[in-house]
Amino acid sequence: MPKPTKRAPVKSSPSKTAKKAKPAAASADEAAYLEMLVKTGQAVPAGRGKMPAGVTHELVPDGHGHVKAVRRRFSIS
Amino acid sequence: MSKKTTAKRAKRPAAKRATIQAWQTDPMGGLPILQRPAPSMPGRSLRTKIIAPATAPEARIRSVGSAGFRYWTAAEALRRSAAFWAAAGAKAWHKNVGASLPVRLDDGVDLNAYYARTDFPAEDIKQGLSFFHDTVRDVTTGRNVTVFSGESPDVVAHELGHAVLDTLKPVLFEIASIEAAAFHESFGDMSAILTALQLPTVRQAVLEETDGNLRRNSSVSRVAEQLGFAIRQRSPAAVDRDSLRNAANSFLYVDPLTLPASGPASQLTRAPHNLSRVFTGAFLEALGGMVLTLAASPSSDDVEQATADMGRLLARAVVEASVSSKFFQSVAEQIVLADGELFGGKYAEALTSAFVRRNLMPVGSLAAPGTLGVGSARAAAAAARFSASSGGRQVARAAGSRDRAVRIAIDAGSLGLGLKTLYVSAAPVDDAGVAPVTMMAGMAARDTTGVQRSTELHAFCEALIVRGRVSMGSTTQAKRGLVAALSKTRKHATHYLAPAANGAAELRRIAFECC
Repeated sequence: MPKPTKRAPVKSSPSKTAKKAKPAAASADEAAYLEMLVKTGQAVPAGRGKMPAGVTHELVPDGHGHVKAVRRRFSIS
Repeated sequence: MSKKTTAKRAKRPAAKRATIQAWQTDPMGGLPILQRPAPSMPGRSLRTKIIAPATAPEARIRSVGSAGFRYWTAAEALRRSAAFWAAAGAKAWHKNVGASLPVRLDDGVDLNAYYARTDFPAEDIKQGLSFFHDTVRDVTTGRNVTVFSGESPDVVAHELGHAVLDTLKPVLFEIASIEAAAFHESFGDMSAILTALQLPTVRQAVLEETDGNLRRNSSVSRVAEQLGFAIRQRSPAAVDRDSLRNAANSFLYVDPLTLPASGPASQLTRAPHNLSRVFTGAFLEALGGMVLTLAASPSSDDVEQATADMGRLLARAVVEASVSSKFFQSVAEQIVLADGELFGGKYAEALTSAFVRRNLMPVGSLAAPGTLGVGSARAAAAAARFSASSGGRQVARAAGSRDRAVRIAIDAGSLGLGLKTLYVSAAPVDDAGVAPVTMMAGMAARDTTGVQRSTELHAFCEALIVRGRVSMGSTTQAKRGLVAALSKTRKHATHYLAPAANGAAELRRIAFECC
């Protein structure tokens, strides 16, 4: 594993980071959206391999100690 | 094209297209399978390429339940939907997708279907449309039922709708916004409904089912019945009772921030698929109204025309709509504006009344024909909200007794009535200081400032009008306006407008209703 740099002081895996970090939300709309994604299981930490059924987003570290939800696909239900 | 090529083509005998069998809407949609010419794959515009299975089975009549049948019913739905959206204005897929949209008809076990813009191999996400299968136990019969999501034209057209919207409005893919995500799901369901209505047999069936009023529950309003059935066997509360989602619903817009993150399908939540039903419901109402605008007793051709026009309105509106946390309202306004530009405002009444009823536009927009003629729909909405917030003018108490009603004048213009003053009988107790009660629980409620009884009265009248409970009679100029259109939607009005002095009107009750 490469040594962590100052810009990316992440020692743990992305999935562990995603668990610990708080979501970065610029607005109430975005915060509520992120909360909904997590509560309904539509977002999972990145780097866990095959996305489970129904999951549409990955939680990715944003480099500032937060995570952001990145859409990978749309589903019908 | 050169003359030589043209001559060669002219000599070639027209190839006879094979006949295949396909579902019209959904395997559990209630309509029988239909024999159709085998679609040309990948098609000319908005190309679709089935890459799994890699080889197309021979195009011929195949029995329901066979892999060959599933292939050709999916292919037919893909081309039917792609042709519709190409005619509506979609030119190409998102640049990341390329010239052809890849499609996998059975990518494993799941009760779902997906659209992805790009591959993500680590997560096993594949570009394009992916469909699946799964086996569920029917809780009624105890039998196992295997469902293939790619076998349903509804599901196919829903997913293709995601791809269409992704090319029309790419920014919606990545933004973290409740209404943007919900609108994507609504667009998918609208795509399913509009795609279904491209078949003459479906149009005829729905006209018969609904007596010409497409706003009613029908085999078209119910989207993805079979997938809904399969999910319901495992999670009874996760989907609507008769389908995955039924556009003939009664959900009204409220601010998503006030909604729970999740909940049963019987409740409105801020989860995208759940919340999408508000816009899809408004869409179905608008579409039904457009059909009736074309003809009081519509034919199959009228329905076809309305769907083509609705497709163009949607394609234009989503491009023009500003991306904000109130994206539903933004699209609704742009649809009304697009109607003015494309069709000279022909559908203004149908569109505005549907969006007002769903709380997607302020009730003041019912004055839309005149207002939209001089400004934008957003300006009309802003004017209506300003008018609503300014409240009414209390002019006189009818009596000093606390047991007798008082007559209060409120601003009728903001109610879209086409007159300045509306007198309303109110309780004698002045509730100033109490938070206003408003029917517009969402955006309009937030815009209503001031704590006045007139605000409450205004909200009361607004609710009556939106629910079509006010008979216009021959009293007011509003007979020509859109409020009259709303009143036509209900058989039994509870109130009517009586003439009053100086061109005003008075709201009087006709009856109470039990439900």
